[in-house]
Amino acid sequence: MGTAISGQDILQCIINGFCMGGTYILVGLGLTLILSIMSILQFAHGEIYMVGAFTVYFLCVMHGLNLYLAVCISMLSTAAIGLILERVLLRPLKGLFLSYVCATTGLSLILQTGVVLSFSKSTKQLPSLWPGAFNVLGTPISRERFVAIVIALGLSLALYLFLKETKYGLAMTASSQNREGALMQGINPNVMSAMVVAIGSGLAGVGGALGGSIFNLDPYMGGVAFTKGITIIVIGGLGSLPGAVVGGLILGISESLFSLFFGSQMGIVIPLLLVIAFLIFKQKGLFGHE
Amino acid sequence: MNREKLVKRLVAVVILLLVCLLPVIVRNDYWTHVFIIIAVMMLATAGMRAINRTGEISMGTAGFMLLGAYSSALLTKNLGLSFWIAMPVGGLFSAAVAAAIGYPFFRVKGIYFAICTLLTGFVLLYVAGYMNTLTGGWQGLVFDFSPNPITIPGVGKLTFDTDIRYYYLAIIIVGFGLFVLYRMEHSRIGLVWGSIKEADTLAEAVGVNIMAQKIFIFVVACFFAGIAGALYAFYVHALSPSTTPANIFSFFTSVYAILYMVVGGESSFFGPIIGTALFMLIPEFSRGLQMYRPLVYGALLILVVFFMPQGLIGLRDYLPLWYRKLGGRSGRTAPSGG
Repeated sequence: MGTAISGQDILQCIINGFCMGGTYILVGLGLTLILSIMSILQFAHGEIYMVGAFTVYFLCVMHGLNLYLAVCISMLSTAAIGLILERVLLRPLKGLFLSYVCATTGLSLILQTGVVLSFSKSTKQLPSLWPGAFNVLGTPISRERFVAIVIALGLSLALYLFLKETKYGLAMTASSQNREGALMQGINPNVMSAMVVAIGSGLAGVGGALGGSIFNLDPYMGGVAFTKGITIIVIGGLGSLPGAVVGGLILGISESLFSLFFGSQMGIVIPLLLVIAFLIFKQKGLFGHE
Repeated sequence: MNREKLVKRLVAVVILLLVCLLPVIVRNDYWTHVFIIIAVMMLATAGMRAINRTGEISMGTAGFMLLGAYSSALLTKNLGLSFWIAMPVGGLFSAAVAAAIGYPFFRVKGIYFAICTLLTGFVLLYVAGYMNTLTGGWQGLVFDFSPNPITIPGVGKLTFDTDIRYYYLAIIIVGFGLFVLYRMEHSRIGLVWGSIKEADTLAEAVGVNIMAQKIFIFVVACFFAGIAGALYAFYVHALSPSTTPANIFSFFTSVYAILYMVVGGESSFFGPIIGTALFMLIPEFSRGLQMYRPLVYGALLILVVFFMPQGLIGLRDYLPLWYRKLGGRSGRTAPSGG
């Protein structure tokens, strides 16, 4: 760490940060969607991310399925988990603060231990999404990170278009802005909640698969992902999708730059302090509207 | 009426006697160790519940325990202060941090406050790991100071070098902390907390300074969390900033504290105490199932939230209800709560 930091290091760092940001975005989008439609902070969201990663591990490494197919299946299965989760756990507890905090943290403990018991605690690895590296201005950029960020941004864009252009998406937006008003227009809030948790969980599943293939996977990866998710949705503004995307990129890049300059622990602490500052002084975040 | 009071007194005396005689009854160092840790957690949980009386949830209990533990340990290690000064100073340090962050944090409510405290817990853990010249960094902090012996005129010299002696020290300090919290809750202050929880705008309209009250209770709770941390530090002699569930200062302890409170019953002062005792004893009776502990905890948490929102303390209300349901007769509506 004491040696001089070259421009190439910085570029490499920014690009790495960009890629990490991509996986954070996928977690944050789900959290922020669920928060804005259901007013629930889903404490088990990080564990959905972890389950997504382990589904890919199970299909791809243990049973030799194609990696991309495995990612798709993982997305669908986490979305299905989301549907069940919403119906069984979240819907009955809507509006009961202490109860949903307890129920979702309980769920995260269950999922964590479940994965520990079935896959053991050790760190695991997924095969690379696209082996090899590009050469940008003399800096090697691994291709898998490029794929990860493309998928992350592509899914965010798809979600944005879904919310802006389709009937269901508009209904969802309406429900998040004014619940009673939407209800009077015949928009069923329960259908919206189910959809939003399913979509959010599916995105988190893909995030887990991407994160797992770029870094490693272990049963406790969800806690970190959850903290990152909260961080970016607070920076971007609670309930704002563009905010989550921008927040994710800011967090990823700042984290890797801070750890380049001040060491890796500070790279984690500084964004957390940043979030507390945002919560206190600018609750709307960068893109919040209310 | 009078009889009920008598029964309550009797139960209290029996429990008190039992608590005092426990280490003598079990005569086993390991169990004494377990009881000390339970006592420490009881104090932290009761403090967290006090914050919850105003309607806010603190998810940073472990962080404030860490503050008290590290500061008291470092004061003893580096400055040579005695335990009797270092422990309260550790608590005060934790309280001072709470006071400093109280005003900005309480400008937000509900889930936002919970997020703030949650992240504070993480930050404190990472800071303890990062300041390696002072705190020993990620390797942890090891020191071997025990509470200094004290001499009481007429009684003689008291030392705290064995587990049993430390147990008595711990229950006296924890008992004092619980007594203070109990008296606060059953005084005018407790009523004010309740009014803030039920109707904060109304409370403000009749002249309750919500911000000051919330900061006050936050500071008191964090003071006791710091004391609990210091008690833990001087007993275990090894502190670590690790983020694994096994470390008492990790995020999991904050979650477990909420769990103890909810399972025990948050509406009663004794709920969290019963919850803590029960839940920390369960894994001791099933040592082979240590791996399944979080799984069982998680499942119980969900079951309690759905079927007994008032916790164990509300069992008296639930039992007749369940009985009636099982008997096939249509029962009353479920007791509200949660």
